[in-house]
Amino acid sequence: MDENLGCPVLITGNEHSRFLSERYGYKEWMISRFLNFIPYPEKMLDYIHDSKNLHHYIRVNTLRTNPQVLKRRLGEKGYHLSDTVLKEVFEIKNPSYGDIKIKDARSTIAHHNNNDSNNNNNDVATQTDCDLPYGNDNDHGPKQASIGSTIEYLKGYYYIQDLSSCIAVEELEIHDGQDLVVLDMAAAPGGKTTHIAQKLNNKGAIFACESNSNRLSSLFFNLSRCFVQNTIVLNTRAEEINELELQFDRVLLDAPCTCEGIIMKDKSRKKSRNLEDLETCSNRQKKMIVSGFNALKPNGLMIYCTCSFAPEENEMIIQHLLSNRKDAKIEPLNYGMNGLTSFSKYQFAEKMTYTKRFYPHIHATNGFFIAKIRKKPE
Amino acid sequence: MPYRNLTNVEETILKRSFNNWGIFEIFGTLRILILTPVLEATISDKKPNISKLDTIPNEIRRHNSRGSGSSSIMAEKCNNNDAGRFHTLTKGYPNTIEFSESEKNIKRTEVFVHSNIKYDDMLFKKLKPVIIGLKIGTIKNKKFFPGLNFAEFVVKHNRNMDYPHVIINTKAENLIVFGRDIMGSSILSFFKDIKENQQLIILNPNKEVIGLGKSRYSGSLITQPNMITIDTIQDIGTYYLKNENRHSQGIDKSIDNLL
Repeated sequence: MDENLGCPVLITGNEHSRFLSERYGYKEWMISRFLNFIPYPEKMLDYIHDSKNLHHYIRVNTLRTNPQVLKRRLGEKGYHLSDTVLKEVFEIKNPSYGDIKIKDARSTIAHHNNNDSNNNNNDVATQTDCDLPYGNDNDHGPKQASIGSTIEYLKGYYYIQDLSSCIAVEELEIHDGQDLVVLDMAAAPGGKTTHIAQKLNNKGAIFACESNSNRLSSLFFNLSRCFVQNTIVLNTRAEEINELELQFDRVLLDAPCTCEGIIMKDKSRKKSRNLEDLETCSNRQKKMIVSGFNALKPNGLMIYCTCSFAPEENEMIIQHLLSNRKDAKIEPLNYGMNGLTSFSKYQFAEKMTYTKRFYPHIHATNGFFIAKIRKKPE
Repeated sequence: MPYRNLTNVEETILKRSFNNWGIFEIFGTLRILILTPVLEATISDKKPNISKLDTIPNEIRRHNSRGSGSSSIMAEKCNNNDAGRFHTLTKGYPNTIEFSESEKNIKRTEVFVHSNIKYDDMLFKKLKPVIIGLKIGTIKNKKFFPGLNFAEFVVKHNRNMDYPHVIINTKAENLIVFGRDIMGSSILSFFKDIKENQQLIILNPNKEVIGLGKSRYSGSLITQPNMITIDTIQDIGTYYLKNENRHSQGIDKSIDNLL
């Protein structure tokens, strides 16, 4: 296997990529790469450019309430909730009048509905663990609290979280109340950790690693808000988890990444990343995935995910693991588009199609990547 | 910040509180752990006698906060055993160290519950977790001060509602979750035996915990109109807002984004 697997691939730009980068405000190297591996790249750039296309999702915290009860309560407060492929996740059509002027609200919602009808084949919608902005006092809309400041939110009845993130946890194959030991390798701010806790029904144990101590308070806050009792939070680098000599039934690695997939929510990322960042991330992800895999029990399951489009942070990381660990096996996933089997000069394993990609313009979600890896029994 | 099991005194304090709030039967089902951080507060009204047990000199505290290097020398002087860093420091307090009268260190223990009881102390000592499970309150001066999560346990397990509480209307609910105190006219119903200065749970019309308060009056006097009759001590809004603010202030965005 190529030792340089994962080094950032720089693709020569052309007039078209220059035009697109100027039009949408990206660095050109990003656009020239997008043109090579993203389906309908122009459509995606156009889709991301229009903030009205942003979709909002909430995940119901079943430790605190029932999805249908919450749907009714929020409905009574004027929120329009629609079902998704996951029964505990709803899309919110009007998350806050703080960012939708009342005169535009109806047309915006109609626009969303149209998108839905055009994308009937989509299995998924998107989002990250970022909380939504609070309502703007200057708005002239009806007096409705932002979805991030309702009593129900404060009570921990739901978590504002992207559907693609929820699917990553769904794929961990945790059945209600199982007594499993789970490792969350990059836990803050706690979206996936709290989701795992509700899947475990506060049974078993979750070891939540977070190396950045500045992010711990957000993790504590969300664990407490969601009434999670089965976590053990470690302020340690996930790469060093093997030093603790623990073994886990499940490992979730939501790897730190360049976050290309959430540009729609954070436009600064169009310009704020460079190829060195991509390389830094890629190198760290390789270490993390090997550490996480080493910490798995035989027959244990690992989910690797990022909110990035870059193959260097996705398929190449999985390929790195497959090349180094013969007991690693990719398993198929239920949602999303197939992962890449080649990129530039690199060829990946055939089963890389089992990994899945999510695109904003296709799945109405953030850009996301998920891979499911099983450790073969000894 | 080491976690440890309850001492006998702490166990008694907690059992009494669980009993007072009508949830004694769940005490044995919870894995309860203690974390003992030290908080520092400047004394505005200087008290002549500062208890040795309540005070840890700054020097030791600084060493402890570093947790390495020369701290071990001081810690060795002070340690009698290995059970709980801050406890042992106070127990083994050397006579040679002088007190600072301008500052007072308040020692309090934080109480956590974890739903999994199979992990032992040895593992926690090895892992050095920063948090285990859910914080339910604090013990200070041999008293247990319940937090909002403890109130959740009370409401969930004490179905008869025979604990101090008030139920307030929706309009007041929206004000109280962001820190306002409770007017008598906002109270829809209340626990009949409420005493003056008693801690109580504030519930909304759905009987959900939205805060903890302290009564200014006893019995039906708490429903006096046009005056504040209950002070809000904690509420779900400011409780979480404080954490979010701390989070947003504490984070250097560039670091946060940069892995």
